[in-house]
Amino acid sequence: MKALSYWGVAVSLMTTVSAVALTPPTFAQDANPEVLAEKLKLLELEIEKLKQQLQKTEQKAEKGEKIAKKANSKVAYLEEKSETIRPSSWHLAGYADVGIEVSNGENSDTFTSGKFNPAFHFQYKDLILFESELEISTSNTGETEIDVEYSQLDFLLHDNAVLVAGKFLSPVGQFQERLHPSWINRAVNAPAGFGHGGIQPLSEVGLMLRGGVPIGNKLFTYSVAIGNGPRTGHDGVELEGFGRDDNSNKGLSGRFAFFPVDEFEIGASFLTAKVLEEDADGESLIAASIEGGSEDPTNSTSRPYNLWGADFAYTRGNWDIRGEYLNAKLERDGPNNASVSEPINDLKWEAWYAQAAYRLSGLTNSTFIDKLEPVVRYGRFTAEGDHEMEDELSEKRFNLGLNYWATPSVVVKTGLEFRSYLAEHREDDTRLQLLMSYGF
Amino acid sequence: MRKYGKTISYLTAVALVTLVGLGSAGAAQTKAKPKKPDPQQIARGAKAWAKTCARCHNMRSVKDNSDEEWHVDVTHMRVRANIPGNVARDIEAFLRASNK
Repeated sequence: MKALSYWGVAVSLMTTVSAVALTPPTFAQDANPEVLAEKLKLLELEIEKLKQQLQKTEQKAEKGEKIAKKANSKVAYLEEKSETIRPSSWHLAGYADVGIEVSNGENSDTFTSGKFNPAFHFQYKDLILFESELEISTSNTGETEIDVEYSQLDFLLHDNAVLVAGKFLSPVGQFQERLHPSWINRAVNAPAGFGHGGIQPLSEVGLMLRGGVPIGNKLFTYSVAIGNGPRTGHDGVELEGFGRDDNSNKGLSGRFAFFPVDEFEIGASFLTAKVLEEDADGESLIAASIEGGSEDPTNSTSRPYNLWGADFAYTRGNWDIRGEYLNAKLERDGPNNASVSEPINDLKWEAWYAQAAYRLSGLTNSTFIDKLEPVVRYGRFTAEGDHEMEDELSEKRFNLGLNYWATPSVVVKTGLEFRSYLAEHREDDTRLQLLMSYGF
Repeated sequence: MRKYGKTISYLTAVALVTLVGLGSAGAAQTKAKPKKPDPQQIARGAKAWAKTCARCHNMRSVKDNSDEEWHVDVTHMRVRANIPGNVARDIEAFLRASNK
């Protein structure tokens, strides 16, 4: 029974297979040769496409391999060519300039004497940097003048902290510390109230702690200095670094800045100090109306001198836009002025400027135009509290300029400066300036 | 006045102690400096160089200085422009890789 069943299944299967094999498939029955040829053509095209893709992939892989080989050989080359940095290494930098100034005012037309500012940097490992800059120039009377702009030891304490000791450029504001070299300054000269004779402190002798601290992807910077501070001088308060302190009161100054975006910086500065009532010649700055200063020079006391300021800089693409504001006050009222019938006003100074420069590179195909940079600056400097000082210092200054950058650090600057003095008896003055500067 | 003088002496002493303490950290940094140029550090340095230096002045050609001169120059700029130390090292790596 069992055997019969197996035979039955086998016969049935054979019958089914024969039926299927002998019957043409449905699609073959329906398809005509033209349709089949079309399908074949499509398949051929598909295969061709796949072949092309494969070729491209192979080419890309080859290219990638070449780039990797090139990068490796570059690294090997750099490794081979890399100089060994000696533990004690040095670098000479600086700048020099020469110029001409033509004026329609009381000043005669003149060649401005060449200035040479060599800066020496000596570094011991990643621990200490000694840096010093001299300013060598010729005075109006022909003598050679040599000034030490700064002479400082920088201790690299930490990635975010450097301790500076010695004579250093004042951290107050941005012009004096960062922009005053003539190959960096976009205008021909310093804005009114900045630089020598202005109210922006030039340098300080003492200690300074400074650095940059990243906050997320933003940057915060700080510079805080304690030093001998300013002194009383013939022209008011002298804001230079003095080798000795004359009143044991230390000046505290500094600047804090923040970069909300990479291209924009805002900063705030301060200086607080005390200066003696009288200068070294016994002349009183406190009460100009008192002949010969206070009655008892040994009784000379110190008066508070406070300065604050704010600044900004926007540098993006071809633009360089910046501005600064400074406000200073010397308090003059005090016990030594009791004998003076008229009230003694505090001495106040205020200076600000705004400047914009635009490099014309990329605007045309001309390499000459690429190197041009128009500049415009407006600023104002005012003094208050002493008539003589007000007349001498107070002015508005408007500058138009055109720079030609022969190289990134060689520039020929031309400028037209309109000086408008606030004192009624002083005539306004227009100056045509030409300056060539080389930063090295 | 005397009180103020004492405060200054104190601050100076603190600064010197900090200097000695952290000076050794600086020495460790020097030793730990990688000798092999790191392509990623060079790329970071290129970016930092472009955005940091142009804040004040035109960017000089990288070929203006030798490796050693860039090493000292970058430290000078690190101090002057308050550039964090790690960013300064990235910039130096880029300049030294590009001045050949």
